[in-house]
Amino acid sequence: VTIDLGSPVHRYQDSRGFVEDAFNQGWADGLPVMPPTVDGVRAILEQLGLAPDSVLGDIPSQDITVTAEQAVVNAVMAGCRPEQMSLALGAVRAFLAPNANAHGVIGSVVSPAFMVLVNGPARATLGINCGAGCFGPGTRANAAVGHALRLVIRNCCNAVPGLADRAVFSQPARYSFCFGEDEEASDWVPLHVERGFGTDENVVTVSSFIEMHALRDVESVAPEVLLTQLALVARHRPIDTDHVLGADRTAVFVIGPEHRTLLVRAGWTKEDVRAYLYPRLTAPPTYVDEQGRPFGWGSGPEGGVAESTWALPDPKGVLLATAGGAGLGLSFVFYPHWSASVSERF
Amino acid sequence: MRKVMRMIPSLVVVDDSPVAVLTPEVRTAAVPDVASKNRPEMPQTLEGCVVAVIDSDSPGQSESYFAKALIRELREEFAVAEVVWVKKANRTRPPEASVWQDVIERADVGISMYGGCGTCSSRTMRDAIELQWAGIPSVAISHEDMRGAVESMRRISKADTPYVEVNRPTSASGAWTESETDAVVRRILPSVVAELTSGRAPVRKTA
Repeated sequence: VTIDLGSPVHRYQDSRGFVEDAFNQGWADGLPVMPPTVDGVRAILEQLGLAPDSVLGDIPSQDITVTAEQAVVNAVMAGCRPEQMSLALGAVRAFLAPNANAHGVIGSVVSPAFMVLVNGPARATLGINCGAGCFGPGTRANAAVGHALRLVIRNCCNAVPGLADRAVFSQPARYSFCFGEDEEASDWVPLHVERGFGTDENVVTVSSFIEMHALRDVESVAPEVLLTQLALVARHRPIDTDHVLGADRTAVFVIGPEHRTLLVRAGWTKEDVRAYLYPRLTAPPTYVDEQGRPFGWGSGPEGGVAESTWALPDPKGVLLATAGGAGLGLSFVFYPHWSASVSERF
Repeated sequence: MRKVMRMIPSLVVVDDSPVAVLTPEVRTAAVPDVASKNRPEMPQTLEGCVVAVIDSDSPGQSESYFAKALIRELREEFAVAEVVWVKKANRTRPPEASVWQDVIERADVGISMYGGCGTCSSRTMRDAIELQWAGIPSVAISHEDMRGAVESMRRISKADTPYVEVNRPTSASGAWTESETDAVVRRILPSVVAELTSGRAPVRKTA
């Protein structure tokens, strides 16, 4: 049975004609795109067993509904191979989940980017980079899947600069940001298992973040010292109270290999790390002004360090993953916008 | 001479042929038929009216002072019967469904405010639009720096719900003093009231 596609069809003399016209039509985000041919998109939908009008999610504030066909079209344009489609569509579903607050993150002036974090056995078969250079360029699967989400956001969710996208500066991670957790590097429980999925399940977690901040620490030899530093660095900017998300509020930490090795050798599990970090992240700020507001990160009025407030109601909101390559003691914290991390099977 | 240790991209010949591609653009869900709801019947004046104030956030450091100043002026200068003040839990989202329903059942007119950032301005505009769709004459208040976001939401929603702008020198989301806020409210309120009433000019109790 041939499935009927709903999108309008455009015809070009050759693929270069499409690539150029994609820029003219505003379908591309500045990077070149692949032609989403009718036969190719149809074949992928058949392979996935999805009807073209299967709904992946919606944005009620903008009367938007995103379908499987639309998502596949954009994922093909981004360069996803057929076997990567399930992951790309999982990321779209996560992005459109109510707790991800798509309207809020698209339209923000502070311009959150979207982390696509992959867990499960499919990382290997899909070629997802979890190691050296995993945050940046160099791996097709990472680049294409992250870019697929970006194109869906652009083309299906009105996120065009000047329309719903109101970024003051935007940020480079908005082009593409996808990586995998290096589950095999240690016996730490993978992120998706900590969030209730099975070890053998493939899960994608999407988190919007307004900023990523690094802890560069090559000197600490004790877990407590390292994690105290990490908490201190993390509190250089606040996480505000979100009354809608409540206990679902999340912040993501990605622990690099050197720091992971230090912690693992000392016998610390992820649960231990979280238990140590959480009270240090959420303790009341040392310094507040007359209205009870924290001074913000930096020098305190009486010396020492002033911390920002972290309104993270539940320790489970501290999401821990490990990734990256050897060579420097680095870990990162990602600050959430008005949205929670959302995990979806794929 | 330094040797290049890896292949670099070289010229290629592509034997290309015509392609048929699918458009990647949005297929927006059906928007409510708003033609008849965009301009609900407006009261002659605000006197005796129930006014809903949908509060996304106040600018600056004074929590909700903008809303309080606005409500005070409405009561003192325009003799409104009641103000239903809805302080939203999140500026980027609509009010809770039950609260929204209460507003729709009680309010004669609606004011959504304040659009001082990208998401709160677009959502503030949408709040006013959805009140209009519910048959309640409404207006949004936002800063002129957020005009693009507000206009985008009107385009996306296919709505012509009005909005009133706060303009410079007060920054969109910066620190406003209470006296600055008072001045802004007094400056914009006649325009706000004019968008909610069918009278030729807003009627103040005091000149």
